Amino acid sequence: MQHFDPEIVQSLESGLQERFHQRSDFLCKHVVIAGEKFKAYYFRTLVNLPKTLSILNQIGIDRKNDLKWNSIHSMEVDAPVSLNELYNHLLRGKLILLGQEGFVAVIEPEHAELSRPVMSPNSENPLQSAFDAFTEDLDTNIGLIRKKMISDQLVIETRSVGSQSIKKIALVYLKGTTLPEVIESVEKKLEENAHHELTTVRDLTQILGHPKFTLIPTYISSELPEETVQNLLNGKVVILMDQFSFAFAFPAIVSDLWSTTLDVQYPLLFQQFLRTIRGASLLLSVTLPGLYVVLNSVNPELLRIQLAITVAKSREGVPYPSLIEALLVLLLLELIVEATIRLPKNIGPTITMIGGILLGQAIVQAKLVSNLLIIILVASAISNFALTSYMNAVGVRLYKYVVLVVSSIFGIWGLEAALVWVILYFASLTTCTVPYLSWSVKGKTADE
Amino acid sequence: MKSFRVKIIAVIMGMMVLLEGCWDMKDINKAYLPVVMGIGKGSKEKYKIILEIPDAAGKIQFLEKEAKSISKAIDLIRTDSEKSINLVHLRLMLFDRKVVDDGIRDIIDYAVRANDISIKGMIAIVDADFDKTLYHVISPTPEISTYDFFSKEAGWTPNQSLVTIWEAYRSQNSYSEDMAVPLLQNGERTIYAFKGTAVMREDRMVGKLNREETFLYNLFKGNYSGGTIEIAENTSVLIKQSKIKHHRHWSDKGPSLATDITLDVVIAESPSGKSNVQIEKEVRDQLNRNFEMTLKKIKGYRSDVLGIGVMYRPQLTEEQIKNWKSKWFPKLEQKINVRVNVINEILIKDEAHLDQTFIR
Repeated sequence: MQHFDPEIVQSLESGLQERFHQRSDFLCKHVVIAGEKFKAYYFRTLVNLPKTLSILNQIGIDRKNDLKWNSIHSMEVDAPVSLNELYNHLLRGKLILLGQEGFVAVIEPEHAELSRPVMSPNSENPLQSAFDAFTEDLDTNIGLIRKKMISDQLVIETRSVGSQSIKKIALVYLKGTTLPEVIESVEKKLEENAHHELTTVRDLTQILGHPKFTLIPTYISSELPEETVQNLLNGKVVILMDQFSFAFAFPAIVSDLWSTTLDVQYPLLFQQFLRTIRGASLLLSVTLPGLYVVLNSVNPELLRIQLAITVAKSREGVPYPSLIEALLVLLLLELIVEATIRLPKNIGPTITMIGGILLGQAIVQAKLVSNLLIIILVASAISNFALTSYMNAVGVRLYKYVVLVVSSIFGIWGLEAALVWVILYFASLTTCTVPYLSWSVKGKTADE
Repeated sequence: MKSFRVKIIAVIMGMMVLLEGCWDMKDINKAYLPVVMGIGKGSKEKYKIILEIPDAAGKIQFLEKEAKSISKAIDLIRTDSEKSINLVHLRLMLFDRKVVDDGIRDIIDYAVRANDISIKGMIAIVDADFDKTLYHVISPTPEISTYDFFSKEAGWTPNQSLVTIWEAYRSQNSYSEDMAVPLLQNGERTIYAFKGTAVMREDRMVGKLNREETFLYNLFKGNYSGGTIEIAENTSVLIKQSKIKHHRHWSDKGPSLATDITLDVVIAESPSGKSNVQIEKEVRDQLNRNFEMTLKKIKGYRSDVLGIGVMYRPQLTEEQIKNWKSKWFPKLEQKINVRVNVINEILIKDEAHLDQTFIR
């Protein structure tokens, strides 16, 4: 609550009306609180006015039915200094009260119900862990993490990014566990690019200065607070974006390709087994299509003779060279995958049936492709989805084509070279001062 | 600058695709994959080449041509066939005895030099009617029994000798080793029958070892897995493990070699009442006797098929290595001492009164 010159208040009023006159949900209402008249400026869509007024009336009236300024004070946000700040407060869903004698107060009102409650995750299927998932509301998300991790070392920095539209983000890390240079680099980038627009995840990676073209994501996204807590414990910096129900942990390292943080819920032997399986599936999904072409056209001597004869038999009558054949079926597979992802859950199985069974069977019977190829490509696709996250899987899915083309040109040597190349590429990646090929991002420094 | 770089990369990629030499790669179903190559004497030309091509249905296709050289003959076969010929799966080269008499050096050289022939393939000599052996098909034909015949995972036993192309190439160019090549003939109910081992000096055949001698040859070389030794009176033992130790000496008179062979055997068959000690003694005596005879025979051929020269190589000067086959090998004094150890010793009630059954 501040006292201003009535003239200034007048100019504030006209300024507000001028700025927001085209916004149909911007309202100015005359309200009475404890017998005092006020003008209330707010966004109808963000503020629940009746509820706010009733609360104000409840706490703001003393026995003599007079306005108790102190109580209203408790609901105030902070004193406005300029018109611009008033705009921002309004946009963030605050209520501005203008009194008759030049009082200006910014009130934290009851918000309109716009956020969903905490629910179980939609994109992940945890087996043995907490089942709550992040929601769109930043404060709820921070609260979820706070609740899961009771530690005074947990640092949460809230910042605003953007110039035209302002996005609130929260930088979360565990002091003493996260490497200081990682925190420093993230903070520095956020500071430098504070005016960058932030609406998508890609914007976020650009703000953090990550390379534009990467084969693998430089972050791990997770919908689960449980997983985020594990990421924090592993020394990662987590960034939460307002109105985004995912937490992004930076930086991603190579072991994130085959390990999920939820593995630690299982017995150690099971964890090792699962990770080995995922490692194998990574290798398989990258190499299998390339290997098919290598064995079929460039280096048939690598097959045992028994197998060579059977493979030759299965390709009998196929009109295309093996590279074209493989590309054809791969395209079809990608189409099926893409089509099923966005379909409603009750149509998805139908497409799988049509695509998988009918088309797969028909394409072999029509002798357009060999049935060995179908086996190999389906194995490759399945092993692709055995990887830890969808984002990782896409990168692997993409690199498969590089392997395929190179090995169709250079044979088994090309396949090896492509694998070596991807290792070299990984070795060249450094995000947030951490090389991609490191085993852990945990800080070695002791907790002081 | 950036567009220049893009152009350079585009050019390099283009060259890579065009110049790497794989644009004429043929898919696996567009080529015949022969498994056996027969090399015989042609009626008009120097060589007659017969290729055996198995298919998934279990049939064997034969392709034959004559030419002055092997590669020309294959080229002629390729010309007439509807598919290309890819020799990468060639596993067995069969030589006609008449070809061997002219020397096999050129053929081995060709096989090693040819890029598509795997040097892990086997070679063998047909010591019977060449065409009959090559065209011999048993019915129903398992698709690749020709290959399995020599496969250690399948039909091989220590009674058969075995030599790969690279070993043959090494032996024919070596000062200190000769090769032993299996002799084959068509079987009656089986695809081949093993006839013995050809002892080669350089690239010519100089003698022959029979089946028992081949077994000893394999034993000396360390290939014993699953070998059965038969002693008279329905007694036979199975070799489980053998250890071979060579003691080399070089005196003024020349080289002398004493070899200790320790065999762990299990008794497969024996008439009741025969003690283990007795069997051990019989096996030992028989092996020692047979080894002595075989060594004498091999020495008579003046061919170092056992590769003894290789054992002496570290001690010899270059001059001595060069003269090994002509000068030193004939002077070799060789002694083999076999020790036998029965490992399935069971104390049976009837034999309990025989002290020597279990005291050794």
